[in-house]
Amino acid sequence: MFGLTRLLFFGFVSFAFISTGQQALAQKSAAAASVSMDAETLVNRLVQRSASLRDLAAEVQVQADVPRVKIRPLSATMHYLAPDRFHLQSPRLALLPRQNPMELFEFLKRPQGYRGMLMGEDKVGRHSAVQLSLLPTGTDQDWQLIRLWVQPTSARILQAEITRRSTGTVQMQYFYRSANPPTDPAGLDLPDSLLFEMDASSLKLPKALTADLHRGSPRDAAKAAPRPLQAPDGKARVAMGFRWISKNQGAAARFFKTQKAG
Amino acid sequence: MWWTALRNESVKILAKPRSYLGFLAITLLVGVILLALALDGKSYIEFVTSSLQQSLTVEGSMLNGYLVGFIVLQMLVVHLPLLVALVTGDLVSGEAAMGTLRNLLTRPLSRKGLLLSKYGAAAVYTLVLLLWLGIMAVLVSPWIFGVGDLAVLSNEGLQILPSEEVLPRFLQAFVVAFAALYTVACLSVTLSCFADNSIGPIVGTMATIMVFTLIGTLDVALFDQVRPFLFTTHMAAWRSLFLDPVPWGDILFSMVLLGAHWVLLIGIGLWTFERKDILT
Amino acid sequence: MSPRTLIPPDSTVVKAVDLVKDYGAFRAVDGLNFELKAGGVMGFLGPNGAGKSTTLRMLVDLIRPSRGELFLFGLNYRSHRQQILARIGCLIEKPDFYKYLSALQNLELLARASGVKEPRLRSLELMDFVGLNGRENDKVSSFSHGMRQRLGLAQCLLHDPDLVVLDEPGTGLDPQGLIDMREMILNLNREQGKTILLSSHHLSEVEAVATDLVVVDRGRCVVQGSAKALLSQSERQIRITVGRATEALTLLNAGPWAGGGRLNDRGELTMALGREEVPAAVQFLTQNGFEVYAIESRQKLEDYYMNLLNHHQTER
Repeated sequence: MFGLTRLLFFGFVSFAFISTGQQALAQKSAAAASVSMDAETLVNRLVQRSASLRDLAAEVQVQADVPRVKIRPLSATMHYLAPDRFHLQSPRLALLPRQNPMELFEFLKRPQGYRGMLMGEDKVGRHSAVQLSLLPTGTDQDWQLIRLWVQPTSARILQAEITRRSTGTVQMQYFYRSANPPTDPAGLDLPDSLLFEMDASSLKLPKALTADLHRGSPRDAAKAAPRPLQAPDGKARVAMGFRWISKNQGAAARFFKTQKAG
Repeated sequence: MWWTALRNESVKILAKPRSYLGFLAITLLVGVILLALALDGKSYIEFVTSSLQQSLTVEGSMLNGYLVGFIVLQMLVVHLPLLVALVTGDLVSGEAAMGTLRNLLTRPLSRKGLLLSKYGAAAVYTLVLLLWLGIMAVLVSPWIFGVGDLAVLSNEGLQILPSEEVLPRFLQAFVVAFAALYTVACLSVTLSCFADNSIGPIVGTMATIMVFTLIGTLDVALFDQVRPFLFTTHMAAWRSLFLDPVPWGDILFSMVLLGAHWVLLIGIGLWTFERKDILT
Repeated sequence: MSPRTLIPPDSTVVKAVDLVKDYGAFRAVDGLNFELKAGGVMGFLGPNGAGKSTTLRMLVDLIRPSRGELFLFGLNYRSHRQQILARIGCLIEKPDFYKYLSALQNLELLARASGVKEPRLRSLELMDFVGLNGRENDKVSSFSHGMRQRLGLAQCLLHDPDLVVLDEPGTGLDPQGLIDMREMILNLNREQGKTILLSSHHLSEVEAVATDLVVVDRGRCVVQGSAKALLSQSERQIRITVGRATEALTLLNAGPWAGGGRLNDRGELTMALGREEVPAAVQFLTQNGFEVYAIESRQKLEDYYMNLLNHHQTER
């Protein structure tokens, strides 16, 4: 009697265990099936949003935080004309990332140039996101790997990590004032601010433009040691805040036309 | 009478051909620098920013008149002391060699008054020379290259200063640079009180600057105590005006130290001149 | 400048008391004592290296005495330097000017330094006085030596001094220049009432102008006194070129000039005569049928000076 009860108990437990496992497996398969399907869909949605990008103008605030570089925040006017015309209009010097803020959108416009793979779920801040890796197809490209953190429901880019042969790896964080993107799937979903982050450990600057004969006192020598870095982790950061003046309304086109004429 | 003596000294300096050598030299040197930067300034800038450009880019033109002006000032900090000493080292000993010192010292003018007028004339000459350099650096350069933010390299890295702040900083820098150059002038006038020819004080001044600069450059513990009090250590104090934030404490210390040098050198000069036998 | 105090005649303008100047171990002036009265022209004589230039430089505060006292106008340099210098003008050694300035600019500059109220006007006046009018705007570098000497004299008169110290003012001047310089010195003294201290190797010029003499040797005063009194100690020697000199001498010895004449090595007649006796002696000879071809007076100061120094050096 006891043996049968034990057998039944263990059988039940085993069945429960196996069925749970099977269910989990089934769910994972189902999820996997839905994830692989969503990568293509997600890419299409990103492409759809990027395709409409032609002409932008914005007032922009730029703040650069680079080791051993001191530069004040500045206000400027940004003009962007697809595919690659970018200009920051300011009487001041500005330190910007080598890639212009809209380059990612231009890249996304050409889906034949890359293959997308969903790499799982993640969180960016308090937002849920899926991680989408884009591998450029072809061997001769500067772009090596693009990783995007995208809100799956709205196809809103929250974070990007772009690795290029020429510039190394740059991380970008996208910030939006509005909680939701435009309802029109082809509507531009432009960030209100961008934070670029890149490795600056290899940054070397000469100490002077000419010979510094009068090096100074030991106090000067002590001061010459780098100050505590604004970015003690050795990273360079550039923050850009946008106030969009014109989206696809031809402002940039007119600006560049005037420049050419001038 | 001191003003009359100062006026006389100014007349003499204006009439001497040697006085214009400094202005000519500055014009030529600055001209060479401007030409070089006009032809190849971009590669000069690229040398500075090559490391930055791996992942960053500088929007706007770093090569503008303010940067060129700053480079001009930096390069000429070596040459200006000689150009100053060339004239101020001649103020007493040149007159002794010429024989005109005895004409002056037999006038009803105190020796102290006469010598102070020479120190005054040295100050005026140094100021005018520096003004000329300022015109070339801060007016002519922007006229050729335009204006913009000033990118300054220092031990602390690259500082980019807004263009609207640059001119006031240049003005302040000239005040500090004057303090340094006038110390050189005082040294040469003081040495001039000991000599009966001009070459000695001029060479003596330059030799002093070279030796002090060497002491300031060598990393020897023995010199650490002395280094902060050498005037050559503070000759580039004007560059601190282009740091952000400006180390006002350090600049004040430099100005006080240079001022102390003036007092010391003028005191030595007066003491010597009062007692000097005029044999020429 | 402070108001000038009028100098009473015959008051002491310069008084040196035991003046000493050492340059290391070398003593250039060795206890020099002398006085100069107002209104006089003092000839300051001595061989090279006697300490004349050193003394003159001390007089104008170019160098400071090692010991002793020096009073000018009753004041000393330690406490009244500017007041004294306001009343002294000097030309020490060769006149030096700023070669890159014109003559007028040089004088104006020095006039301003002297506190002259109208420097340009005063400079032009003096350029006229020394005979350089018309050369005001010429650079001093283009001047001859004689012109610079004149300009040198002008510069020491800019502030109308009471005492004028002249060190070798006739050096390098041609005969006309010497005469002109002499005239100017006499003018300064006799017309303008200035006291002059004159150092020169041109003994004839000194003799022509000096009222007092000081002779220094090896830093010490050898003799000081009125020129007339000192020079009257030795008589004037007159050389007369006359036909039949031997017969003339015989006649003179037989007459009122007995013992006063002799024949020199060349057979020329020389006589020791006072100045007033010369015409009478010549008349005596011509009335007695002797042809007088020439009369020459030997420099009495030169003789006196050479004899004095020889004697002084022998004594030492």
